[in-house]
Amino acid sequence: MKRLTLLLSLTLVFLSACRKEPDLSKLSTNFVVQTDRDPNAPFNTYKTFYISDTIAYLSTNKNDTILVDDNAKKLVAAIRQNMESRGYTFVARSAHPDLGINTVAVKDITVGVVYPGYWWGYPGYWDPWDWGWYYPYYYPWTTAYAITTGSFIMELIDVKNAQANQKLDVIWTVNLNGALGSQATNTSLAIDGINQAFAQSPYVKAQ
Amino acid sequence: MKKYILTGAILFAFSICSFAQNVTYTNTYSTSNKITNLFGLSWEISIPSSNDLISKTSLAGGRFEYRHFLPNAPVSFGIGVSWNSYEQYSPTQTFTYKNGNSAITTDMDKVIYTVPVTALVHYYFNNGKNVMPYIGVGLGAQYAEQDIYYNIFVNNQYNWGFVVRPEVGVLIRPNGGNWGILAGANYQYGTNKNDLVNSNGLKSVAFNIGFFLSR
Repeated sequence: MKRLTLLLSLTLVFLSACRKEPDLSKLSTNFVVQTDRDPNAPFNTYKTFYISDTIAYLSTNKNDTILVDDNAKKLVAAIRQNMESRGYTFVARSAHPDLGINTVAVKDITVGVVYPGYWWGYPGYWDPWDWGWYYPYYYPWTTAYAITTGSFIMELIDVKNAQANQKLDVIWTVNLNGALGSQATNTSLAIDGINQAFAQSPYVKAQ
Repeated sequence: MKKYILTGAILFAFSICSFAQNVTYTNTYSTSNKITNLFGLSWEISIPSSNDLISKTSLAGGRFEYRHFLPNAPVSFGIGVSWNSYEQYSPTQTFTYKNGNSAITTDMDKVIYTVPVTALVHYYFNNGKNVMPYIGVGLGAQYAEQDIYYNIFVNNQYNWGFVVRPEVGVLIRPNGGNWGILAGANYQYGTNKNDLVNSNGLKSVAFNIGFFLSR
């Protein structure tokens, strides 16, 4: 009986001692890059796009609305460069682009799960009334996003067929999520993330 | 610290073995060569096989088992509890899902902890002898914790699955007494899923070596 008790005690010792902990020091600080596409979107039928040079900005400070500084310009330039490298042509907003691009940066807002489009209504955005009538934004997927500390979101919107569809189809979404550092670091991480988002989405191309 | 505990436990285990050896000749049960009840404790090394999540061998595992032998057949029935802890870092890579319509790129550190609890049946060759090879199978349920750490996020999937565990092994009693060495190899298939990486099960090949007490 004594030996059996010892055996059982040893079992318990093993059980608790043999459990591994994660080695978090290995993890990189790069943003997690997530992309979602509308499987039915004909990416090669669009030729032109427009992107604003300001980025909507959400943080715990209610006075924050848009980013207009050099960091914002760098991010917009990175998106524009990637779009042009895929064969799309940048045109002015007044020239009726086929695609509209929305960008939003989120900082220090802790929310559990966020559904696409929750940020609509913030300033700096494509106004659903812009096309003479109100079209609701439409996401063909139902991915939930967990936003804990910092995110950069980019959306590609089908403006070309908005009137025919009576809605604004969001055909591609890019989500960059991660821990934030200094402003310069964040911008650099976001640019890397934007490049990665295009790299992992070869279907985004004009031809 | 864990290493010290582990080393201590193994040394402790060996000291019990030698203690058992000393008392073998005075134990009344040693007059019969047949085992009635067996309690085994072994160290288990587990190699994940065609596992979608982890491929790195785990040295952190163990197994406790009880077997009751039938008096007139070389067969035992029993229960076994194992535990295996896996950890592996994966460099940055892109995963696609939803038929390729969604993709995610990140590096990650994956930790899996499994506890299969199985009902056992074993058949022995050379029953009652000093060296008893056996074949057997375990059927039961497996609890699994699958944690994926990336950036500052974590995805936890804790669930139960069915598990099947065919095995071969040998019981060695150096003096034909009431203790001995237990060694075996098994294939284990658990149905614990992981939605994040589209994994339908946890499969592994494991080797275990330890000691047993019998009476």
